[in-house]
Amino acid sequence: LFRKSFQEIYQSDSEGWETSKDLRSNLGNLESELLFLNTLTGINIRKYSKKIENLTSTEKTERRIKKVLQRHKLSGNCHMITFQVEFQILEFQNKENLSSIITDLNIIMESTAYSELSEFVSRAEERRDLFMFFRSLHFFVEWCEYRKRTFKHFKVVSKVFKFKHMMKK
Amino acid sequence: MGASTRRDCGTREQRIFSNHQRLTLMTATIAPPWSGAPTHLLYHPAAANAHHVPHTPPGGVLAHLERLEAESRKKFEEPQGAESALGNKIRNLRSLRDKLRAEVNRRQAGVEASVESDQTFEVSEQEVLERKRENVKSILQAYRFTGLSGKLTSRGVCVSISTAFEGNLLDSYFVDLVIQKPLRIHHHSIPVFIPLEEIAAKYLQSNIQHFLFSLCEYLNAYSGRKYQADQLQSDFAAFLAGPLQRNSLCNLLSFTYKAEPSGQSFPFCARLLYKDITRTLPTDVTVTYQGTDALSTSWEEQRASHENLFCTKPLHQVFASFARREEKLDMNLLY
Repeated sequence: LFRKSFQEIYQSDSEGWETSKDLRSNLGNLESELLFLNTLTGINIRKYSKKIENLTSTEKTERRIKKVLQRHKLSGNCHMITFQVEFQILEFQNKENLSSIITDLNIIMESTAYSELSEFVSRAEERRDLFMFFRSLHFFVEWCEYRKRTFKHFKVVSKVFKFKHMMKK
Repeated sequence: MGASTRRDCGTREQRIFSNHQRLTLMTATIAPPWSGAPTHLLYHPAAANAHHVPHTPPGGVLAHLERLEAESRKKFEEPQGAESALGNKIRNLRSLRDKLRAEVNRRQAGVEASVESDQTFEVSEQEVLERKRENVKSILQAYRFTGLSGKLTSRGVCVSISTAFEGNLLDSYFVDLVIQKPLRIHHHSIPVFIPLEEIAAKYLQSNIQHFLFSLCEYLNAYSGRKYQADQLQSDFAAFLAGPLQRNSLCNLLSFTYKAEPSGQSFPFCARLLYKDITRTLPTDVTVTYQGTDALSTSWEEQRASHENLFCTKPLHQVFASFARREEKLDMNLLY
């Protein structure tokens, strides 16, 4: 994958008209990138959409503050846990700087088997800490997987024991 | 009668014939012969052709007249018949032409349609791929909301780390990694006071994920501390009695402030030390009074509560609470 030349990967992006073949190879590269990010973050984003609303006031003042409200929706899974996240980002820019603030965060998860999840989910929502949510989710799932593997190991051992016990009868 | 009669008959017949013609013509119309309808009305060009071969009409004149009548009628009808035959032929030909035209059109359309459908198939396949690509691109963009994002490069991968503090999206940093044995950092935008080499030495070769998550922690904490210090300087400058002293890592802050800028309160000196640079709250806080006289009990209480506040709440929020207190003008409100 990494042996491909830089040009090969990104050249078709700059051309106006592409053949199906170029398109397919470009798509393939993008999908590899997606797989890489999936592996790196532990998060699989399956769907994403956003809506942008311009809230800039129409009054003609010198100190015009540009205000934009972004509404983001994304859904996916982290191993067996699926999530749906909706959040709003308020972006405002005056002469000096641009600020982006998460003004609302809603996290929807299947809260069936994992009660520990709901704790940090509500904390993340309160603090509007999107990054913390994803990092915690990833670590939580990893820990769950580790716990499962460990448990499985012991289960196997116990099964063997049961069998031997039965044989003795 | 003899030959002469014949000849006479001829002329006479001719005369009769011409009369007959008129008569037959007359009978050919609705108007009765005796009505005396003018001859010009009776003129029928089709009938007036030289079919009439002069000969002795058998069965007498009346019979002859009848025959002529019948013939005339036939002729009257014949052109119509001929016409209808021709007309039919024309109609048939026309219909055949139309059928052939329709067939040609159909076949042509069929050819065009098959060409078109091939094209539309190609276009829609292309459309499908384009849409898929746009979808994948947008999902790649969305990864920055997880805090970690990246792009594949010719050498390896360029990872982007996003930072935020209390919902405020702050700076992003990148690390460009070369996938080789050993893994190495090609270049990066990590500030020099972040212990990048230390973290890399610990995790880079064994676990890239751990390396990046660790870096995330340090960078987010630094971003958060920086944000707090910036906010204090910009939004609560009125409370500061002097400039805010800070280091680049923003883990050592020193300032003199007045909880009530307007009122008669004593300026306090605060020193905030963040020993744990993966955290956004200080580990060591000292608030001192810069004065010669001893503090009264209430002021001592206030000083102690301020120390506690700085330990538990983000810096700018402490000052925000001072501002709210100022508004309430309630000096006895202690948290």
